[in-house]
Amino acid sequence: MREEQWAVQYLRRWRHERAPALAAALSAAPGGEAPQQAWLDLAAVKQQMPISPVLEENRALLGLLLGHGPDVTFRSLALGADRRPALLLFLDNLAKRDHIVRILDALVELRNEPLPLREQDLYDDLVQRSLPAAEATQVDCLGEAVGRVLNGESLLLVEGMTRGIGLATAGPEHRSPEEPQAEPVVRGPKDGFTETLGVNLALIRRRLQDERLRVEAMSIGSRTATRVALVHMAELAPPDLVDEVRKRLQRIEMDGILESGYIEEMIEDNPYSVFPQVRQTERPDVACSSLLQGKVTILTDGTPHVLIVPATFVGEMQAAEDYYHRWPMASFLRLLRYLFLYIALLGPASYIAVTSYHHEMIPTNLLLTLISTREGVPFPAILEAMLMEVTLEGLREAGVRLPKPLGQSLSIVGALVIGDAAVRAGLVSPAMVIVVSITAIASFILPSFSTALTVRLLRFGMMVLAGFFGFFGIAIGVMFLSLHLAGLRSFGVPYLSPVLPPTAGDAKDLAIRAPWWVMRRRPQFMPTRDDQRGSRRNRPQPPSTRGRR
Amino acid sequence: MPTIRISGGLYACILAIFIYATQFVFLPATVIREAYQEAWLAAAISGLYGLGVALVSTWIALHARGSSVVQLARQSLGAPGAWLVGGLYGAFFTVIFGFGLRNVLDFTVMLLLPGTPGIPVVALAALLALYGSWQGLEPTARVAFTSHLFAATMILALPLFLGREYRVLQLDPFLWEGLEPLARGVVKALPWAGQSLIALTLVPHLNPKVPPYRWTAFGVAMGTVLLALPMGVATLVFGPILPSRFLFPSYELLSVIGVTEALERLQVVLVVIWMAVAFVKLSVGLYAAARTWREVFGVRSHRGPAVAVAAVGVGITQLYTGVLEQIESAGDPLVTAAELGTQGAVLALLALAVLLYRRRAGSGAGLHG
Repeated sequence: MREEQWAVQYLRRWRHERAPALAAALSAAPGGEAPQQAWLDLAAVKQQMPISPVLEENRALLGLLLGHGPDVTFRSLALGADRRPALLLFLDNLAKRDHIVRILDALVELRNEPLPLREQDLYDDLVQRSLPAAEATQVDCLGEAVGRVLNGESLLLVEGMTRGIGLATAGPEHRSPEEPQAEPVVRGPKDGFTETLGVNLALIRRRLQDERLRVEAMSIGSRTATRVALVHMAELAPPDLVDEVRKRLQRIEMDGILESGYIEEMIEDNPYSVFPQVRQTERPDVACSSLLQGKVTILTDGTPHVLIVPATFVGEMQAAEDYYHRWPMASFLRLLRYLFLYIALLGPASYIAVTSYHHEMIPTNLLLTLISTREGVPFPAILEAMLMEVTLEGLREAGVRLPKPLGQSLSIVGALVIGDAAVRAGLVSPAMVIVVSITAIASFILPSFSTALTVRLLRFGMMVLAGFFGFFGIAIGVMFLSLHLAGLRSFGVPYLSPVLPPTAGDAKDLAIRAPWWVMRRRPQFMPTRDDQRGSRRNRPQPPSTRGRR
Repeated sequence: MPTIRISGGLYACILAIFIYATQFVFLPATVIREAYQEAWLAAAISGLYGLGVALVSTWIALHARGSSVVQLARQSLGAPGAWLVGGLYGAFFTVIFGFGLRNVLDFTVMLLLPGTPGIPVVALAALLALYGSWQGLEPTARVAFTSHLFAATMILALPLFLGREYRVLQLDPFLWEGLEPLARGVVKALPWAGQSLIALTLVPHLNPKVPPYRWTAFGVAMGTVLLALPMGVATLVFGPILPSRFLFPSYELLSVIGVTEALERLQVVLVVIWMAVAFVKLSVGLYAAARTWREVFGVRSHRGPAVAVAAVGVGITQLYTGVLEQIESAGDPLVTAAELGTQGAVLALLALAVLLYRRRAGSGAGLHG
């Protein structure tokens, strides 16, 4: 019998309202090929299709549902002394081959043993005694069988049994954890998240060996069925926050989730804001630190970018390394970062405002120097700055898209040759080249790539305002931003926390990073149930001073 | 009850900003012209009036139990009372918003962007205020906190940087022409101090756990000090006559600052700080006016009325041909009387509404039925 004929036989026996129509469509198929519409109709009801006791019917239907790609593998078997027909179905490469071989070995070893006749006994015998898989799950319908196979599991079907056995064999090839290129550190762990959810979870669990670490798995995407894990620390993460994250994730209706960026855009509070309201990281230590602060992380299979909520602006300005270096250095670096944030956002705008409108602010000697360098430049300062900034952004984007060695060369060529040539040609002034260069360096200092992108975008707006209205325009722009940021929330937490509203207890970890032994409490803007992080005894007490007081 | 809550500190900051923000630049010349070297005292005395207005407003707002000005008037005085109180209160803050816009326009066009047409400047300022009012009271209050922090630091530090310029004798003789100049100065400053009427809009949003009267007094006192201080310093530096010839004596004070050669001519930066508090005042004023008009006309959101108030504010800025005309107009006895009359009428009507409500509450009826 052909595959379609077995399928038609199943459908004629199946008591379902759509079964006769499906059987008719399949039996009318010309040339033995199932028409696409019939196949799609079949797929639509797969969750209601029970496993057939006739093995060939199951094989036919699963073949139709999964198609006949080169990786769809049906391995026929004869189990036990009575040579009962069986079938092992898996997707090659998605299921790990050594797991498959081990299962096949175990099944072959049954060849001389009598198998129980009752279905329940046979199921128990196979699951509890014979099969070596770490996890074996009962599969009751063809829809579930397809889902498990697509997820990398193997499916064992035996003649006469109305249930299948799903065997945990998933283990696609994955790269090993490497240092994230976007978040490198001099001091600190060098491992990073990978594209595999299981590996990422393991990286977190290795650091947080606490049974209160909770992982909730869900699948998002009707076609990609992307596995997503919601991770939080019970007792630390506020239950309201966890509920809200869960609700927002469950609300997503999308055919495919290929990266956590898809999720980020669908769960943020203000979708029209340019500021990232969900933090993302590739570093397991950052994710763990956030979990210890009572935040929630969202891991998405297929991407190393893990989402952290809620996000705050201050958090975006903090680097993982701030907590690994000694506190005076960490504090200095933080202050430097805020200074360069100002330069990255307002550097060119301030230059335009001062040179175009507020000459009185510049000391006379400097003013004369600036005038002499701008002599002959045919553009007003705003156009000059725009020209340079757009060129720089173009170079940066081209550098990212090109292969690494070429990208580096292009950056050097862009920076040195084009800049120098532009100055020599009298198109831009040397002072503007300096301003734009410092601005570019400043934007690289920001630890969060998303925030750096936002600042780069806002810089253009500030330049336009400064070009038209000088410092008045800058004041307007800054006030717009301040009002926007003050109204922004990430999962209910004010985005400017803990600065606005001010939380006195959190001042220890703001622009200045206090020593670890001073930061005894978790961030106060997160309403955790256990806010104690460390003890008073953490303060170093060298032997010479111990016990004197 | 309003769900938006602001802390006592944020409330006091906004209240202080309403006392000193635009006044810091525009009031000294007028008051010094009338009160000479006692201008600082005139500002301080007008602060007492501001305190009275703010405390009565707080008392009314607390007895309204979260109801707005218009709701309170409607419940106790009926629809005509609501129209009258709402109309007066809304018009007062619409005009304050328009004057504030004009102040920003004059200051910007005269000192920062000479030669720039006024309309784009005023339109941009109105847009910012509109955005602030759309964002609501909470974000604006948060911005008010940081802006006020910078501005207050700047004003409080002002005397330290001008120490070399002081001539103490310029404050002497004290009351040499009697009390009359002082009284004239106080009258000029009163309408500005009465802008503490904004407490009627703010108190319903105040965190119920904080002591409202204490924070009200603190806010008004802070604002009054920040207004009186530059007047005193301006007199110490320029004497009692010269500042009345300046348009903006406070700005002139900023331009005198010079710590070292590198730290001079910083007035533009300081002006930007002043602008930040001025914008907060504009946003909150627009918010108060828009919320009131919303209730008067029964509109669902305050956003529409905010656009209308912003447009009216821009229109008000065009009523004057220049800053001198505006200053003259602000000092006109009729305008002063109108402003003081409006403040008094609003407070009197609302106080009557509260008393009527309390009488009814005694007979079993509550404000909310």
